[in-house]
Amino acid sequence: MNEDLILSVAQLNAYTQRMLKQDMLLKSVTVRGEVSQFKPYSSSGHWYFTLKDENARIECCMWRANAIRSRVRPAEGMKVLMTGYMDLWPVSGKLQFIVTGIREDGKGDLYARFEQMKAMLYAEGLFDVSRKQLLPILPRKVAVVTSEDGAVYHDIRKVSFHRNPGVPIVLIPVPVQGETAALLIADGIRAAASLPDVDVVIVGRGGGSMEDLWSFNEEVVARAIAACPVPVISAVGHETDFTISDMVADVRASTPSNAAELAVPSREEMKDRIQSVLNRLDMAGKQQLYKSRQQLSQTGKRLISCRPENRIQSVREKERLLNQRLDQALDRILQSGRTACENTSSRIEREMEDQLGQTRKNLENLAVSLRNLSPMRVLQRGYAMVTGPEGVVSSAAAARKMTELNLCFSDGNVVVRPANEGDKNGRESDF
Amino acid sequence: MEENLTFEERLEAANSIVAMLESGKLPLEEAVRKYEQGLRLLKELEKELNETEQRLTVLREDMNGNLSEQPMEGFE
Repeated sequence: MNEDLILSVAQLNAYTQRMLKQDMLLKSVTVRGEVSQFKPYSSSGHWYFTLKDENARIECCMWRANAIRSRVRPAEGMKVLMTGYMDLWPVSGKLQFIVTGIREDGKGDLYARFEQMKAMLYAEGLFDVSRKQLLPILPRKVAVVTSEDGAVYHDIRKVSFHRNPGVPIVLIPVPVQGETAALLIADGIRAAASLPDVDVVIVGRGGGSMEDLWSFNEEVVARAIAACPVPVISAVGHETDFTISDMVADVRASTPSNAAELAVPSREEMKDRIQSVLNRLDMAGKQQLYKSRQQLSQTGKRLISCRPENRIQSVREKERLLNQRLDQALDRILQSGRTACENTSSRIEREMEDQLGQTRKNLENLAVSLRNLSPMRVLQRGYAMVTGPEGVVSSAAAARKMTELNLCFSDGNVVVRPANEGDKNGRESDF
Repeated sequence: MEENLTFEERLEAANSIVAMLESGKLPLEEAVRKYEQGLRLLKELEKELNETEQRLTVLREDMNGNLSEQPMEGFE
């Protein structure tokens, strides 16, 4: 203790102030604590509040100039990181921590920023479903933007190879957390898209805390994904982690393996799809053929039924009918002619018969008459015909000279010998 | 002239011929000529249909055969 050196209060304060200003640490220091007793409506525009933790407190002041620029506005109970310097008021001896910058400490800050970013990008339409590109059916090459070590790249490679070994995977190594990560991730996405043959980009990282995943909530990354000409699959963190990358990306994968499944179709799947398309093609072809055949068949049937033979047939038929009619007509004419002839000939016949009959009658009459005049009749009346060797003997004188005479009676002949001359009984008489 | 028309166009032409014949207004000689023409056309079309069917069958078998080798090649 130096009793020779006696300072005034002012000197004490001034000295202390000088010491504070010179101290390396206290010239610029960041302190973690909680805000309390914040008085926002000071007339001067400066902010006055207390920074405290469980063990101690210190009075704080933030000059208006800094306060206006501050992105963070203190609130009662807010956990903060305050940067500034210690100062002592020479007059009052009051110690104050002069704050030049405030940062929010702890998760509260991050959530707010997340919501802010989300709202801003949503308003710009970056999350719109209509913006999302379709993944290619079979990519020529897949680019993966992630850390070199870590399971993400490894898992993607494994799953992809298993599904289709023919699809090459290329890695764009980037840091996936830390201050510079966001910018490098964004660069990585742009680089990936510019590589030839890259048809899909997977961007992601393994699980972690919100702070760990923070890079994938950054605006640069979001804009890089949005601007990417090639479809982007976001695979950040675990199943339950949702980052802004996930929302802006064309597709969100729940895990890296899932990302590989989405990017690379399995060969089996492809074969099935091709087969089903082939089947549909085949079916369509068959249907078309069937339809065409039907139409052809129908037209064919109609044509057949229009056969000219039909017409010729009908003409022939007409001809036949005409002939028939002609024949019939002819027949009728002949028939009537015949009938007429027959009638006439019947009449003639009848007449002839009549005449014949008549003539027969006449003849018969004559015959009767004749019969009556016949010598037989004469004979019946008792006469007899005398015939000699030279015929009828009609003279007695002649008869006497014959030796034999035939007497023809009506019922027979008698041969007589005329009695000679001198016959006693014989009496001769002459007429 | 008929060579350059499509299947459908020629089928349509055949239908027209049939319609003409069905109307019965054609004189006999022309009817016979048109009938022959129609018949020829239909025979042609049928032949083509058969050929196409054949081609599709061959194509399908070929596709199925090649499926395991190069699924994406020559696939239009």
